[in-house]
Amino acid sequence: MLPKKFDENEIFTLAALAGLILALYLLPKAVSWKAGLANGLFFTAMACFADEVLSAMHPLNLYNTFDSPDLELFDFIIYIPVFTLYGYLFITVQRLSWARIRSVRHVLFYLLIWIAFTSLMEMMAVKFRVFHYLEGWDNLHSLVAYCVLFPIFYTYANWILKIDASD
Amino acid sequence: MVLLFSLLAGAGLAYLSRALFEAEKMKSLLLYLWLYYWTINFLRILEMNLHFVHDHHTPIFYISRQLVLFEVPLLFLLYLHVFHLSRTSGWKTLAAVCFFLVFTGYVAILHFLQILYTYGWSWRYVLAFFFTDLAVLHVGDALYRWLDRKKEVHRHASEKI
Repeated sequence: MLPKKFDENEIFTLAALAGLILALYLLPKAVSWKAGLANGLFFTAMACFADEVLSAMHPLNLYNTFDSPDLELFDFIIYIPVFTLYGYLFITVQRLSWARIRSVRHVLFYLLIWIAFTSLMEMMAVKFRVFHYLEGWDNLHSLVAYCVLFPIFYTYANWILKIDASD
Repeated sequence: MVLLFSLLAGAGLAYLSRALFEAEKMKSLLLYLWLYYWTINFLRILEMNLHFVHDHHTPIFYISRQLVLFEVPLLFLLYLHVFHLSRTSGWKTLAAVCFFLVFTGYVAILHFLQILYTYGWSWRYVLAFFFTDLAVLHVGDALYRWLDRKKEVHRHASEKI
C-alpha cells in the first residue's frame, strides 16, 4: 500500500492538496459544510467510478495511477482530500459567482474555465507521473470526458445549493 | 438472471430508501457517497492488491457489478435507519445481527450468480466486507452528528450574542 518510492508524483499530490487548502482558506465561506462535502464526495465518487470503469482492470485499462496498477496510499489521498476539496472549491466558487452567472452564455463560459483549468491540472499531473496513460488514452480524451462531466457537476452543485438553502 | 437480479434488487432498494432520502436528504446523500467510496475501493483492494476477487469481465457481469456497487450503500443506509429506530442496545444488536444475515444472503446470491466471483470462495470475504462497511457507516454517521451538533451550538451562541 505504501509508495514504492516517494518521488515527484507524491510531491505533486501533496502540493495540490496544500494549494486547495490554501484556496479554501482564502476564499469566503460561501457554503455550509454539508453542501461542500456533498459536492466534494460527489467528485470523489465520480473519480472512483471513472477509475473503476476506465482504469482499474480489463477490459478497459486505459491508464494507471502512481507507481503501480494496484491501489496504494496516495490513491486514497488523491481521492478523499484532493478530489473532495476540489469539489468543495467548485461549489464555493459557484456560490460566489451565482449572481454573475445569468445567461446560458455565462454558464458555458464558466464551465469552459473549469474544464480548461482541470485539463491543465491533469496535464501537469501526467507530467509528474500521477497518471500514466496507456494505449488508447490521451489528454484529448480527458478533455472530452471533462466536457461531459462538468455540466453534470454544475447541475449537481446547483441542486445541492438549493437543498442547502431550503434546509 | 445476472442482470435481472441486480436490476430488481436495485429497484427494490431504491424504492425502500426513497422515504429516507426525502426525510433527510443531505445526510442520506453524504452517507451514501461516503459508503460508495469505501465499497468500491474495498472491492478494488480485494481484487487488485490481494487478487482474491475477480469478475468475468463480460459486459453483462460488468454492468451487473457496477449496479451492485451502487446498491450496497443503499442496503447499509436502510440498516442505519432501522438501527436508529431501535431504542435499546438489545434491539440495536438484534438489528445488526439481522442485517448481517440479510447481507450474507445478498452476497451468497451474488456469489451463486457469479457476479462476485472469487478464486477460492471464503466466507471471510463476507465478514471483512460487512465489518468494514459497517464501521465506515457508523464512523460516518457519528462524524455527521458531531459536526451537525457543533455547528448548531455555534449558531445558538452567535444568536445569543
